[in-house]
Amino acid sequence: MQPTPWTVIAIYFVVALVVAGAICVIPGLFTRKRPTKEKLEAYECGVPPTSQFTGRFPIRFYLVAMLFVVFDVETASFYPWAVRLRQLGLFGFTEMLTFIIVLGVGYAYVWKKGGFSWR
Amino acid sequence: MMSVAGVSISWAVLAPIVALSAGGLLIMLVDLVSRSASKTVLYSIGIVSCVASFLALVPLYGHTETTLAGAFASDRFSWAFDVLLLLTLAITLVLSSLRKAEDGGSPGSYAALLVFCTIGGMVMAGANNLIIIFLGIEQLSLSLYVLAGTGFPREASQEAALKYVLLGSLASGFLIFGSALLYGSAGGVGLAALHSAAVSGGTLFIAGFALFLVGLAFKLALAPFHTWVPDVYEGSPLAVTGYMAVAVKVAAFAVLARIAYEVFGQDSFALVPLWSVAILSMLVGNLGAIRQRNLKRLLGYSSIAQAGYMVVALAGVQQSGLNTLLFYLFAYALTSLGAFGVMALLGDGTDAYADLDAYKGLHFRRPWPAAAMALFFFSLAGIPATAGFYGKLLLLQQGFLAGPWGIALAVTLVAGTLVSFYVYGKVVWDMYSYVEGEAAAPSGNAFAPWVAVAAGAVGTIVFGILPQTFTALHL
Repeated sequence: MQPTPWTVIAIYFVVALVVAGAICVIPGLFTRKRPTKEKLEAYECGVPPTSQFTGRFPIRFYLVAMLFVVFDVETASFYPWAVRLRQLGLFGFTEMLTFIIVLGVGYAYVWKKGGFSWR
Repeated sequence: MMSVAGVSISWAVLAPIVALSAGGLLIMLVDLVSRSASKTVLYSIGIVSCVASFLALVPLYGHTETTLAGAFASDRFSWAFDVLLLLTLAITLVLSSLRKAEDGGSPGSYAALLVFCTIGGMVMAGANNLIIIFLGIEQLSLSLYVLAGTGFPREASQEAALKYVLLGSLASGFLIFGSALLYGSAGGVGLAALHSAAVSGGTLFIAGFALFLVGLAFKLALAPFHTWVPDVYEGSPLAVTGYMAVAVKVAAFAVLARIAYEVFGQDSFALVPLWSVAILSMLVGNLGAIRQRNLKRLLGYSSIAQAGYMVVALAGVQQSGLNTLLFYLFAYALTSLGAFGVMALLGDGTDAYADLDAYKGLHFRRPWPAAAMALFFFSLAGIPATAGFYGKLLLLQQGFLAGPWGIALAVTLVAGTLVSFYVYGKVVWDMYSYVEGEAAAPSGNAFAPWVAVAAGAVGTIVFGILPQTFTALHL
């Protein structure tokens, strides 16, 4: 059979499935299960867990994470622009300025509405 | 017209979107700067930017051009869709004027989100490659996820937003993965490149298109990807539900039709899954509506069925199908917005009149709203002398001319319509039968919803009795 670029991907898939499946299945065949209280606890880097996992925690964590992601992703789009700045010239500069202004309005909106304050 | 790095940019084509974006930003700024900007001011800015966008759209009439290296098209087709989206936005903003402070959310962010949502729809209407399609869909969806939750003091609104965002993200995943496979098979993201890939076929292309179709069918609420509709429609604030029922369908049909015409062309076998989900939608939508006791849920199921009907316009991918699709979309939009207008009018912007029991004997308390609601229901069902009837006539013609799948679609359309006669007829019957001593919910009488009701009623009657007026508009 003539190998195509897809053959490589197919081989990759098969190997990934076999390795992952083996890791899941083989240990179970050879071990004895002797669970103790300590073993069944959630692993928190060796520190005894202090609370249950299924708790509720304040929405401000989500808010901070979400706002961070939004503005973080926006800054990522500066990189390709910076690399091609000379070729894009004045047009690229004004485009990026417009982008920053639009972004700035959103930033100001979040700030003024108290999105950044830890209440 | 200017050109940067070999890519030409036609600002005239982009002007309607730029105008609307500026309006959205202005709403945010005014909301920021002025502590006391009333919601009337903010919503008025939205309506003014609608008008500005429309004025920018006027010179593009009858003008065919692609810009941004073929990524974005302006033609007769996108023009009509843009007009319909702007009309929907304007009516929704008018209906939203009934929102009260205790409904939750600031009026500034609410109005800005509606505007941004419409921009997403306009991007979808002109999108000529997979990346722009995805950008448009995401802008539309992300704004709508939040809008669904803008009634957050009510738990149902939170539930609607959460369900919508979870299932919507899943659909977006299908969409983007399908796009990736399509790109892999075609070697380009433009619809022209996809056309050559569609002609040669191939497993990768079929798999990609199947996934893409799943994502799009979710946005269109075609069965079996419709399960989110009843809950999201019921939980969302009234004006948002009306907007959702119309704008999302309009924008997603713009994408679907462009793909059917530019990528596949006549009698393509690859569109068979689309015909199948359309048949299923017509059945599920109409049968599911029978049991509903909540008008928002009922209209949700109705919108599932209507989406199925609209696919019939594309059957066989005939050139006349586009006119049929446009007529039906305009008829559906006016009818649907009118029905939500009546609901907002009676309930004074709240969900008080979402319960179908509140409509019992409505004629004897509020004859005009009852008459308007009956008119809209007749149009949704397809009773003669309404726009919905003429639209269905066009759809049937389209279906019966389009080979075996077209005939199957047309026959299901007739069957679904018969079921829907019962669904809508029962509500109209309730409205016109006298009930003794029933404690009815008090009904509101604000001016704003009358605008939506009047626009819907005039459109439904004029396009129903004189459909040639629509043809004369040459949309």
